[in-house]
Amino acid sequence: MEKMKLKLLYADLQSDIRVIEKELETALDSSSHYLKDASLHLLKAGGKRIRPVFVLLGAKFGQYNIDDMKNVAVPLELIHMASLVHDDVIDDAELRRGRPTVKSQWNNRVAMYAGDFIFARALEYMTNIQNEKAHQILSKTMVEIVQGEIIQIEDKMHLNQSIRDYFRRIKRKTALLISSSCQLGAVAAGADDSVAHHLKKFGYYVGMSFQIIDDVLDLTATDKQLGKPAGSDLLQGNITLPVLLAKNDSAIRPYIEKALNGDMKEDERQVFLKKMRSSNAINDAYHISNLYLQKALKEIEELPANSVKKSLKDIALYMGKRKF
Amino acid sequence: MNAAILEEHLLQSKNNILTKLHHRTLLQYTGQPIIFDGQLRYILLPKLNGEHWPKKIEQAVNAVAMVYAALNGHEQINEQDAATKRQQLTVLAGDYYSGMYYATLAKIPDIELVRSLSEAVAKSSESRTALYEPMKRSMDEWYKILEVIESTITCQFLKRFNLDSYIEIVKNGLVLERLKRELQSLQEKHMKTPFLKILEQQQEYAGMNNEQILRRLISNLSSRLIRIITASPILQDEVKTFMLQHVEVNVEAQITMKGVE
Repeated sequence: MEKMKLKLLYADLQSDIRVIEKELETALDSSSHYLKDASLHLLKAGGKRIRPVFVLLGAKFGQYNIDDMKNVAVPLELIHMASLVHDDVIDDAELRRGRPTVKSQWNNRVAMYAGDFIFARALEYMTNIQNEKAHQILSKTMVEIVQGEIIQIEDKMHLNQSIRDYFRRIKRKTALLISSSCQLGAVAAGADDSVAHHLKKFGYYVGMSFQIIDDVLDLTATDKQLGKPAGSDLLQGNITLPVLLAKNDSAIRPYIEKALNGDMKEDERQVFLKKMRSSNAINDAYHISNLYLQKALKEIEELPANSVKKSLKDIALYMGKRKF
Repeated sequence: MNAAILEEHLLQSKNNILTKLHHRTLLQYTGQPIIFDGQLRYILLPKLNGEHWPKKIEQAVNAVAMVYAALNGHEQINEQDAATKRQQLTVLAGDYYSGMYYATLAKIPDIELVRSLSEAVAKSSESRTALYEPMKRSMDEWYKILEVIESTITCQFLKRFNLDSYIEIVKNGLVLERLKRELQSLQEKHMKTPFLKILEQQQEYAGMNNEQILRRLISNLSSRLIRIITASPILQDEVKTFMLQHVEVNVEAQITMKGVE
């Protein structure tokens, strides 16, 4: 349902999104049965295709041509997919979006190879673009994303981290790839530097808002909506913004500590979620997400007149207000 | 150049690559990136042999070694349980080294090599996965798969810089290095890798144990490589001697083991 709503927001791009979907299938074709199955499995699981959409919208500020732009849009989605496959190994996740993960269907090693394969295909596709700057932006982004994930593992279980630590982490974990998607579309389409710069900032703010909402939803959505137990982030030791905002609440802190010690029982998880949902932390986190969203909308105002400005605004608002 | 100078060249290159890949947290939890000396020796063979070696190729070598570090790292992931901090960071270490290889080539820029290496990584990943797929293949087919896993990346690099004449040596040499590592891991850790599990199912090795199979493969391949190196019209004499020393180490190791048996 939510995905349907999102698709309506970029209805103008539907035919181009279909091109991207087809290209994704082609890109993931493999002589290995396991890799082919794993890739198709990932494609069928769907996803919002937010990154390709942002590439295409960014490209609308330059010389837009889907035959060129698919060479940037497809790799961005593939890189995202590859990182999810490896993340599932790191998180020992059995399910993603309610479906078995590659690692659970085969094993960790096959998941590593699948991730490496998808990542390689992404770069292969990207080399259809000869723009040096685009490659420098993407490669720098990829290195920084991994650095963010490394920090995430370092910060795990550390309840004494600051909100600044959290922002630094989600910037690299999520915001950078969305930011680069917006920027790369513009760069590859030859848009002005200032346009690419505003799009980059827009993507960054949207990405920050998006991740904060994601972290809130991990506590407020149902197990069924999430396709995994609500509160999984904390159970895995990831300290998110709502938890950081609630950690000094004496009614909640003991539950946080229990979760981090790995001895939270099911009934305690339910109590914890109830207490979190009725705390100020959720509203405060929403407020902070909204501040980022407002900054994103300001960046749109700086962009030259273009019909896609409305789409950027609508998608940003959707991402900042989504229910799950 | 004598053997000591050639070894010094290799050591310098390795240190240079390790410096570029240095990451405090990764070093603390996962150790140095894994780049096997044998792999580096074959990647750098044209340089050791005195080929023209501008900065651009040196940077490309760094990128190739980073790809090996990434893939070697991911080979350390446990099939069933990767939930420890060390294993989690090993996953990310591989991803980090992959990102670094792309960043290195984007900076030169050498987009053509990005394409060649990414094609090679895709092929190598397909072949690595094949080791887990329940498909019957002949020993020749498995050998080809091993060859792709071990050498496609270096071969793509050699082709990119018109160094194709080294490919035959490199292909055989890198497979030999892999077999040597398989034997080592069997002897030291008693680990049965997916490749070994496949070998023992091959009819032609019926009645032989894993160590005997590996020894036979190593022995055959070493003899072939010695012939190729000795007859090579492109290698300088001192480089031939240097490379043969390393091949012969393998052969000697086999003889020693036979003695123990």
